[in-house]
Amino acid sequence: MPFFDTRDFGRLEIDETALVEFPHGLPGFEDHHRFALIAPDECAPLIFLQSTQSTHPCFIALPVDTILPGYDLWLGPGDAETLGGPIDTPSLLCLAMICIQDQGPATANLLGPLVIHRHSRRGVQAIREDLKYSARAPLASPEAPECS
Amino acid sequence: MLVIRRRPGESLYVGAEVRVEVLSVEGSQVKLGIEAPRAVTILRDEVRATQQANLAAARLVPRHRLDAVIGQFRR
Repeated sequence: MPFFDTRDFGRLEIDETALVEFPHGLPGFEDHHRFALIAPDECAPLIFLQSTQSTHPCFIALPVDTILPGYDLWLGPGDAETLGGPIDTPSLLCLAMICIQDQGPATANLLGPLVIHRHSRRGVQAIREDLKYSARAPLASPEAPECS
Repeated sequence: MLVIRRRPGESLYVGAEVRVEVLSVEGSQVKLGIEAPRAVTILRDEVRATQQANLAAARLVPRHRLDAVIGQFRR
């Protein structure tokens, strides 16, 4: 397994199955095409997307359903081809990047979630054209189950 | 906000070098053609919003703030 230097966890050995290719990069980081998905137990349910090309950028993300159950996924023209595999819900991992600042509530980018195909291990940032969701949606706590 | 009415085939300039032409109007969609120097960045609104969000999300997060978010989702 290859080793990578990470921003938050030092040098890590990362399984090939945790590597994802974003053929078009990400807006603002068009030169970064390969990322490692790192999900330490102590940080669950957070998932870190660490560039394998350098320690920066490293993004923190959450499964979209964790933030907004029933999220209406939208793929743009060409996204399915980029993902390179059959588009069905079990094959797709949908993550929202979160932004945690020094002060104020953390926010999640629900406008452009990261969609990763579990089998092809290719990803795309699927940016909605209909502006149905915000790129800076306040991160609300999941509702606690009600006691009967 | 400056508001200008244009028909398909008509155009306008932004500054001296950026020309925007209305190519067609179909239902609620307007197709625009833009001529601009290569150095001018043209982004759809939602792509720019995502770019700004990505840049903000890539900043280093203080550990105590990270722990607070983890705690928020472990309740």
